[in-house]
Amino acid sequence: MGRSTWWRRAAVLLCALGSFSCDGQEARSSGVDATLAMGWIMRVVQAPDTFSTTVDRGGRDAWIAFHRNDFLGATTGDGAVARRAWGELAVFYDVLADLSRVTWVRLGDTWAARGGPPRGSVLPLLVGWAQNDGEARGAATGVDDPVAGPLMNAWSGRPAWDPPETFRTLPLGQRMLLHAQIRAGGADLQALRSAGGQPIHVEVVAEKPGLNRALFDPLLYLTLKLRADAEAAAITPPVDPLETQLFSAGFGVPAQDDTSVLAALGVALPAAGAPAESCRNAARSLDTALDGWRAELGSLGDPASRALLDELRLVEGLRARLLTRWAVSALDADQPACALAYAELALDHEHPREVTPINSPTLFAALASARMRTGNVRLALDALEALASSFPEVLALDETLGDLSVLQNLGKSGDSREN
Amino acid sequence: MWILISTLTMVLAGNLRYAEDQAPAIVNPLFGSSMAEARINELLFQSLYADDPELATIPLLAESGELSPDRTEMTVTLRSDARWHDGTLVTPADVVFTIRAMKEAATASTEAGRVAFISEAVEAGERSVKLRFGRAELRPEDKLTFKILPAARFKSTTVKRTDAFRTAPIGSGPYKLLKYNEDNSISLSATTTSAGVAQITMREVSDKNYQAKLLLYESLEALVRVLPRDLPLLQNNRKVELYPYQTNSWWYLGYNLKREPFDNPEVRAALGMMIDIDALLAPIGTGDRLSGPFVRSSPFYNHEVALDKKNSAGAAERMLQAGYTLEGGLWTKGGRPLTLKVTAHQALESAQDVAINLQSQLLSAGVKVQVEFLQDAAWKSRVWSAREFDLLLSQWSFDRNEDVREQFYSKGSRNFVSYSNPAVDVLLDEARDAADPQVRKLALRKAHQAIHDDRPMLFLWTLDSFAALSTRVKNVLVHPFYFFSFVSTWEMK
Repeated sequence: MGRSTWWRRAAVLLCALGSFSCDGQEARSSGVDATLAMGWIMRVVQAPDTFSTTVDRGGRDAWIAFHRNDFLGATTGDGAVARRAWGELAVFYDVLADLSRVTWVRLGDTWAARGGPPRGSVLPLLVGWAQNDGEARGAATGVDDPVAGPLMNAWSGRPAWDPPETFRTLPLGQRMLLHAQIRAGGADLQALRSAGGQPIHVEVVAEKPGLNRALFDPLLYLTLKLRADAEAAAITPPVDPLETQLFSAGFGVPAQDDTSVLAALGVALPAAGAPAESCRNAARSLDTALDGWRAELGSLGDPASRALLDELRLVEGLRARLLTRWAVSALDADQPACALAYAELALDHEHPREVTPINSPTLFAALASARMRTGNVRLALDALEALASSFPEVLALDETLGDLSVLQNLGKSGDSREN
Repeated sequence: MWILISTLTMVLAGNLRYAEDQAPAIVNPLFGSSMAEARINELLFQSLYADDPELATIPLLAESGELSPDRTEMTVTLRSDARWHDGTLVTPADVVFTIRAMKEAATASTEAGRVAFISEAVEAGERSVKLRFGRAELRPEDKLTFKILPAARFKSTTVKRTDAFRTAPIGSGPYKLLKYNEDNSISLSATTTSAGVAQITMREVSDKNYQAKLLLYESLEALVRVLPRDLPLLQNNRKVELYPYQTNSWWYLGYNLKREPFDNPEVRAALGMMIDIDALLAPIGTGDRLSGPFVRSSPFYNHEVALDKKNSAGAAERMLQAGYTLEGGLWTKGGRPLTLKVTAHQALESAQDVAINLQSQLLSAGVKVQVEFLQDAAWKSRVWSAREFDLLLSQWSFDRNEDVREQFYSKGSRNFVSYSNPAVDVLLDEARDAADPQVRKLALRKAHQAIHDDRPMLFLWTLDSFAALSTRVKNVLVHPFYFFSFVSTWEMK
């Protein structure tokens, strides 16, 4: 089905068939779970006209992009959809920023365990930067690069940073200036996204003459996150609740927060420190609730409403976004095993290497972070690979995480088998 | 009473049944070559060191290890409670025997490459063994992950594949052999009553299409590798959960470089250009095309190397350069049409679909193709030992080190295609000896380019790879390569 007719056809069908009131006033939710019957999915199904109006107001292409988890594409819309897309990008870059920080720290630790960082490398300084958003002047000890060392020490991490004139023309100085400009709201975000795929510093490998070591930007995702936050904040919040809730990770039940909705559905998130199996059990409870609800929705008897539910995969999308949100929260709470359980269960295995309406970029970022934090650095790279085509700036993290993965296994003899 | 307790334990802790496409022909870690063997060996045997759940190296049969100041010797002390399944203690003699047997040329162990760094192993006391290395080793414990065998069960370090041990294996792992069953399944029982899974049964289910159904009908609790086309079915079933597994695997078509005309690079290039790899992949599932011997997410994958594409005109040009002419729709030289035989292992999933599709594609391009599928014993004999084949259709799986040395080093033990390029040898040496990850990455990315250009193989794809387990199995943590490494934490409800 073409982009232009995709959900309009389903919505028009719903109205034309007359089974539902198109102004949303007549709710025929008999039999459907009482709590969920008040949520945004039910409202979309019952009032497709309102849904169409909402979508048209923000720009249909932008909403289509948002539904497909193409957040960058959705930022081109107006109002609510753009605001929400920037908000989603901020969350995505935040997960990457945290993963980048942990990766750099572990890279530093792994080098230390192997007898220290490479001689003369600026790596310790970058590790310090990653830990402290650039404010790591003390970490310069042992860095003898005559240009990079002083320049990195001069970086303040603040939007108003004004580098010494002598540094402005150097590649490293230009990158740091770009950071400052992006954080201050100037310069195009795209400029940093493009630059992010290039090393921030190249140095000679002392023990291997002729070979350069390429080091990537440890602050890249933090700056992108800060800018995405600022872009979202600059857009007036929507008034229409549907604009806030459409394709979100929330249930959108009036006067009830999602925790109480979950409780009503019999889903209890495990307490901090609970084993991963408890988190899987919580996800299974959610599935039980949503599966039952989806079956009830399907039994409403209206083919048009079923078509809308199926075309947009509304319930599946809600499930995936909820589990992704739980995964991000678990990462924030330093429960990577739980985060891994949620993220693995959220993944659409039919397209495990693609961003889809089910698999958001944030899901892949959370999956990578959870795998890395649970020790499986190599498998984290698989999750990042899924982002490579849409987000070329992920290359910076990919290379750094790759360095860590290889460093951890240097000197090992691998095993290989057939089939 | 004991029988009652153990029966009760088994009922409570349950029997986990998992499927393999083909039951391991033998159970002996000296000769393991397939993933099916690696998985069952993981249940039956232990190594001196192994991965912990966060994939850091920890002692297993070893209690401790002490490295000499010059890092060329290590004294490993064994755990005092490490026992074989028959109740006898694991001793330094067992470690010494295992290493010597693996190194013994007459044994022709597939594990020889994994102990090549050990120049000598000697007993050094009641519980200690001294290992000497060919050169200084930074973290030798990372390499001491091969399985240890009971010396008393063998007559000498020259071991044959047909040794009686293969059907009566004794290990020190968390499960011991219970019985071989008439249906080719193998039953194992936990060595401790506290195990969360009392019994594990390996079931041979040769029809891969049937495996997912058995899982859904609760006749299995685990599938180690789900066919990509079964993923939608399984992910929508709430009694099953999917786990990423064995993701560093890739398919290839390998030329026998010792045979004419495959020793001719023009012919290899032409054959590559005759094949539409995307069309081969489409019917068997989703995956990523590859241009070299690493998967795309690997730190070693060289993204600057382009994927091979079908190019009929280019293929014709190469064939003409190689002295062939097109006669009656077939490429012919010296009056004989080019005919090749594609050899695949019978247990390679979807191989029949791929081989038939390949046969059809090459015939339309002017090359006759015969296809043969070998049983395990014939595969080991023809491919591993005698190297009697034209073109192999097969798959390699790698652990997280993605060490392709054995496959592409001139003297590599798994270099079936007889590939030899001194420049690649240098790069593989450089990668092995690297002390800096970027040195290793760069060396292997260069090797990727060189191997791709030499075309000893046509690199095909990596498939989306997941294991599936029943939700009745709890606390599942799947090792990304050996699968069962953390089975002690699993529980059956």
